Amino acid sequence: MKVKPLPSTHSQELDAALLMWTHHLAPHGIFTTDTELRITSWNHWLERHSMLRAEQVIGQPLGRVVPTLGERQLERYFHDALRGEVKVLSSALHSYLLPFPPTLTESGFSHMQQSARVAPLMLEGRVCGTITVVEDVTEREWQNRQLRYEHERDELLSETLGHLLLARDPDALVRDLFNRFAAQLAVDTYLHYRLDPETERLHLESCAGLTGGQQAAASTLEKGEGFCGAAMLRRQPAVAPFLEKMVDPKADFFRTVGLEAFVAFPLILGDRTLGVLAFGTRTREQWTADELSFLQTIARYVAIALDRARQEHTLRVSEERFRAMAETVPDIIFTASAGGRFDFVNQRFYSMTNLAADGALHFGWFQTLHEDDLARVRDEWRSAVKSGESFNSEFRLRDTAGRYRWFFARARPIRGPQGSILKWFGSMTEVDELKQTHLALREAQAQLKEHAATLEKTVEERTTELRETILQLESFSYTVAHDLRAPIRALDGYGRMVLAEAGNQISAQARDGLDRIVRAAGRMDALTRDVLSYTKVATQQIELVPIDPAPVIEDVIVMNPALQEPRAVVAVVRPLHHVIAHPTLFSQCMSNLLDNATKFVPPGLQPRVIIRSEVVDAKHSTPGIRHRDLSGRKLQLSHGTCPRYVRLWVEDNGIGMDGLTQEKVFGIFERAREAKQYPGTGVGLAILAKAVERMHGRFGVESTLGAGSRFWIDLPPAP
Amino acid sequence: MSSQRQWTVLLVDDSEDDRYLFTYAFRTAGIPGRILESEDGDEAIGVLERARGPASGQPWPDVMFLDLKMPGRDGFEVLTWVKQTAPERPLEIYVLSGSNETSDVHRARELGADDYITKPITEKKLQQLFDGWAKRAQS
Repeated sequence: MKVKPLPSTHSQELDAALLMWTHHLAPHGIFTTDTELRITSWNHWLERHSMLRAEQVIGQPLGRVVPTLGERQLERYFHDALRGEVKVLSSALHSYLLPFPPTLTESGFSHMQQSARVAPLMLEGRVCGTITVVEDVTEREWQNRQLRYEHERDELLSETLGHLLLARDPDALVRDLFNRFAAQLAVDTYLHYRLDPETERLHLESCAGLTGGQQAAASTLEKGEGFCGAAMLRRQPAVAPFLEKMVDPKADFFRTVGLEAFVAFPLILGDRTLGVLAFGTRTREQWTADELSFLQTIARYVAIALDRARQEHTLRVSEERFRAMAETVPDIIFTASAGGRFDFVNQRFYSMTNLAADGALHFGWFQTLHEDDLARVRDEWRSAVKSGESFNSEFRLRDTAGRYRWFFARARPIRGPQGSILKWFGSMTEVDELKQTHLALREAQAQLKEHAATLEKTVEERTTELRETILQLESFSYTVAHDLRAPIRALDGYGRMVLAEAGNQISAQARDGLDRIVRAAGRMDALTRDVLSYTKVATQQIELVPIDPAPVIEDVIVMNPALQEPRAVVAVVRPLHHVIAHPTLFSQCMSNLLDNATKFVPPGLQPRVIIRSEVVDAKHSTPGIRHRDLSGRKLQLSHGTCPRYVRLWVEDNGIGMDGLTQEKVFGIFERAREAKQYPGTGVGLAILAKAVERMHGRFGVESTLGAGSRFWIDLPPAP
Repeated sequence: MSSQRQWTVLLVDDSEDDRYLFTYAFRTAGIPGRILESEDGDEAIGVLERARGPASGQPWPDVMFLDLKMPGRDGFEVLTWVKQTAPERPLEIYVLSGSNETSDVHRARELGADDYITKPITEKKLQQLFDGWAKRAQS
């Protein structure tokens, strides 16, 4: 603000204006005295606050107008001023100079807080009195004080919170806390109720400022009873000021206690209700918003602390229960921190090992590991702890006797709601016996494997040997067939030649002898040939394929004039069912059957043979079915591997057989008694039997002596 | 016998007895012609090779009687050689074997043998064969 400099010619007007401002308008109290400290002026502000008019005080000694100045030792400031010194009185030091009523009723000050300045009043270079300016600083002081209180409360609260959250017994802390803020807030009593969730009653946990009788009266509240019950029920603070004037019957009890105001806070945490904390005052009729806010904060802290304490208690109980349980199981049970340090190991571990009590904690259990397992297990445990994945391991622990026993260990992390690992829980189970068995088994398996390998090699060698043997045998057979028969043929040939060349020059007996030589040679040739055939059928490697029997039979007929007209009539009832067979073996079977069918016929009768096929059920038992081995013994009738067979019938009009012959006819070197006059070696049907057997088939004959025979073979049907 | 044709027969057999008896039957049957004898497959192939050559003076046989089991190249190999080397020259081939193995019969036919005769061959069988050829040669 700019001030216009005043011209000196106006100094008298200025003085008058200044006096006017000082006296009527100044927002401060201003008074002057003479050198005798008699009041010479008293402005309007002072009149208003002192309720003393200027006329009443002017001319009066200051000590009379303000009698307490002397006892408050403030007069000396005025004397100092008369000596030319300027003095300042701070409200912080003296609160006030003049005892005026407070300008702010809620401030709680007894007097208006003032700061004052006392200065010498100068006239023409000498002191002619004093001038004093008084300022009302009540509001400022009040605000300062409020700020100070707030600061103190904040400190108290933060300190409280720390204590509360660490306290094992929050209720004890509530008592302690109350003692610390009670005086400051002028709170005289508190009640701390605990809620019984089952009965919904409130039970007095602790209190202050009540007599024993009052305590007893307030010890239990039914649901909704009193201010505390109401606060609990509504889950809202119940504020009750002006108890003296309150008509609510709930106020009765508190009036008897002598309280002016009361407030009850429900102790709530989330949806859990723990109890009620209530405060009362005997000195004030109502609470300020600040006080309520402070007390509510206290109540909230107490609720948190109570809940935490309760959870801790639950955890402690469950931990105790866990340990008790851990001691009853036969396994080693352990828990470890998130960092992998063992913090609990049950007694079983210590009784099994030589470690002293608690020796397994942290990483102490590693000491009992077998040195060959130590590094691996340590790595596995470290890796599990780091990754948070389950720990699974097998290792040996040294027992009290110094022997190592196998254990299987597993541990899993227990995670908190945020997913972080809180703890590890694990067990070690003795698997020594199992492990030993396992090791023994593995060794046995290894041996077995080796043995199997050896065996396989042996088998392979033997197979090779066998194959070689078969090859040799085949080669031998062929040699026999060729080389053995050659001289026989020669015998036959030369015999015939001699008969032809000199038959009529030798005696009848000599001729008969030569005849017999030739016939014997022929029989021997036939026998050798057939035995070789049989051997070949029995040993040669064969592959079974689907075949149509008709063309094969046709070939057999074409190759043998004895099967052709006019010597014989062989009829094939077409079509024939296709079969699974080996073409050569099948051809040999049919050839043998047809040979027999056309050979064993009464002299002069043209052999007539019919070949036809049908499908038969494997389980179907056919009369006359015959299963024989080489020596003619009955074979077990097998149903074979296929459910159905193709049956090929070869029916002739030959001499037939009796039952006994039928039973023996498939054996090697067996010849029908009826067939004595017919040539033959008795090997043909044995070859057939062997061939059919090798083709997984069956065979048999139905016959009546003198009425022909019906031979059949069963072979698996072609798909 | 009805034909005056002179037959050239190549007989391949390692058995001297068999060759002797064959020749005896051939003569007894009165078949005109001559028999070239070979003791094994190699010798037979030699005979045929020489006969194939220009102006060799060796006659190409009309018919070959061929044993199967012989030292050196056996009957099957001779058959194969003939069919591969001289398919243009007409030659009746009769396998004459002591074996009556079906597999041998099949194999011989597959390789192109005209017939398969189990030893011993008789005079009668020979007559039938040559009568058949004579008829076919005339027609």
